[in-house]
Amino acid sequence: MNNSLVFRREIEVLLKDGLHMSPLSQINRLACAFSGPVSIARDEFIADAKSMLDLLQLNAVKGTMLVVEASGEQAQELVEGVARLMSGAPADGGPPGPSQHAD
Amino acid sequence: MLVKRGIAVSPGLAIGPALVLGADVFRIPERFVSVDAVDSELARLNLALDGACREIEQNERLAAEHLGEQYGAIFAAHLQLLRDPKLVAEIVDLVTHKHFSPEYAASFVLKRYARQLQNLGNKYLAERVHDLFDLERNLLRHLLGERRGELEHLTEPVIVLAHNLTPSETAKLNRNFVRAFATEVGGHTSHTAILAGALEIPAIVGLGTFLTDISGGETVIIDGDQGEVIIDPDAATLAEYHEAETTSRRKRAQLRSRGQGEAVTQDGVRIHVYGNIEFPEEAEHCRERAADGIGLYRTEFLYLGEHKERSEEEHYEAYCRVVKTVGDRPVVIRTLDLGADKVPGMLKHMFADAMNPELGLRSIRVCLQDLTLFRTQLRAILRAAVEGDVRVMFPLVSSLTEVRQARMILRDVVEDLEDQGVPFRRDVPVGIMVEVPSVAIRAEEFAREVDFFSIGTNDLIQYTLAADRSDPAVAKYYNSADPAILKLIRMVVTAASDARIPVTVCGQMSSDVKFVPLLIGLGLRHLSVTPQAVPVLKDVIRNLTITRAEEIAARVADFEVARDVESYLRGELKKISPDAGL
Repeated sequence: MNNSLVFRREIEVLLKDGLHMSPLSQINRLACAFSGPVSIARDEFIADAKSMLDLLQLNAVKGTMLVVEASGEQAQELVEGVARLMSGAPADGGPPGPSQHAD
Repeated sequence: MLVKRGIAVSPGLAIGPALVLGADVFRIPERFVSVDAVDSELARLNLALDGACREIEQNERLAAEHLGEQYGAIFAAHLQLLRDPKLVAEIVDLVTHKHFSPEYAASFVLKRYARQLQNLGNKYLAERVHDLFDLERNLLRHLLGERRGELEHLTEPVIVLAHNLTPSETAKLNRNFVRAFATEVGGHTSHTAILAGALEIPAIVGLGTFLTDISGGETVIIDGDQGEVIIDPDAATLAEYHEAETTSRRKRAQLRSRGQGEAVTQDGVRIHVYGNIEFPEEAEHCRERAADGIGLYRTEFLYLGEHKERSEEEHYEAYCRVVKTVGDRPVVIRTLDLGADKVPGMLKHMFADAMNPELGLRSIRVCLQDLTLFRTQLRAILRAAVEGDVRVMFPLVSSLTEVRQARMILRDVVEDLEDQGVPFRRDVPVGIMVEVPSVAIRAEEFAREVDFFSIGTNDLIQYTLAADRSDPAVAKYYNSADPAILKLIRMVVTAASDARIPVTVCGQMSSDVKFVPLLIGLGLRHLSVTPQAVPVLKDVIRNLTITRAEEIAARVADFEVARDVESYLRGELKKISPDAGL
């Protein structure tokens, strides 16, 4: 994989309560640990995923379509991890947590 | 220009830039920092951010341990919010480029985010606003906390403005840089006020809410004589005060030189004027002003600010320093008068549940309960007495039993010292403070058991008139000139004179010059006052005759209310010593 590689994916929020503090917190942690830039866009608004305050403003409820974009080494894995969190599954690909199931 | 009036508690004039200390409710000093302060302000911001983050981490651990992981997660999210690189960058940018103060910048940015969240129309997100406000408070507390810490690291003169200063904060004020202070709360005889007098810096308390109007850094004039704070004075006022400052300094120097020598009335009666001190260094202030000794040495200073037990050597050294400074003049050492507002850590448990601390376990009552504390101090006093004319005085006595108990412990200490072959003085005179009405009422009986009296008017007034001396809401009920107080003083003086024991007045009342002719007329020959007041008092005494003083005392006996007494005394003072009122 090469550093300039940009990976982008459109994801629908499946969490029953939308992107609450807890999943946002996990997404933010994932993004902060990632070496390159990570953004999540909702229409015109583009949130820097390393900023919790930006993420909160996505105002993402169940069914909101978001575009997650990351660039750098292992950008794809990062985006997949974020997608899993938005669908209520743990970032590492395990089974969904009981309180965050996608109904 | 804004002028506020408060209670003048320590005289003098000072002009300088304001340093605002935050209250528990955070007011944002909406102010800008100077360009060259940007770096130090950013450093302060970083310290505060680190501190706030550490605190959240601690809360996270505690919550996770005691309440469960999901609660810990709330704080984890807070931590992420506060470490948000965008947030921090925006605050830093406002400080760097717009020269906002970190407090204002932090509040500005967090409030803007809060507004944005509120406007999203999402109920859940709108509630997250409270999390942001929480962070704002947390950060401000750390910023303002740092500011308080700055008090100890001042590098240039300031005027301290605060909601309140605790006695220990006041004691720690750096006299080289803190030119004056003013607080929103506090009364005439609060310990903070007494300390201000002791530090000899102009101070005004009880100003009421005024910090909201001040951002810090403005030029402020503190007129400690009139009790006025002038914020952002116009050029004419500033010039006027600069001139007044010079004049006042000159007048003080003049008074000081006139203060030398004994105070004798025009008809040849010697009046002893002693100094009240709190810190050993103040003994020097007394010596400079030719005070006749130390009439009240408050020994609590050792416990201010430091929450630890003090050793006998620490007491001994402090006392020796005072005794050596004043030479062969008397030093009256008052045993610990620890009360609710100056409790060292090790005694906190005793005060924890006091509903009404002024009527609770304080002063001699603490000493009689904590005998180790008491004995340690008594040993140090008896040992220091070898060096000069030391006398020991017990505060807040309310019954004969306490006097007897205290004297018994003193005898025990004497025996111990004797057994151990430690040098000490055996015949140290023992006196009591007369500051509880029960003692004034039975002064005759008490006079038979002690070597001297010292009337502590501050507490005597508070307990007689049932008015908390530190509560501005009842300040009008707290009145030195109340006929009941004057009657009690008369009773005590009569009892002392019948028993042929000396009696001194050592409360704030004797430092108020207008009361001096009255007190002398009532038969007092010993007054103990804040060191600053010694020269003024001597000046008044030298312009007075005993006959005139007695006429004044007789006339005052006819008045029915405090206000009439006060205005009469003020008028008389003008006739006796036109300059004395400042």
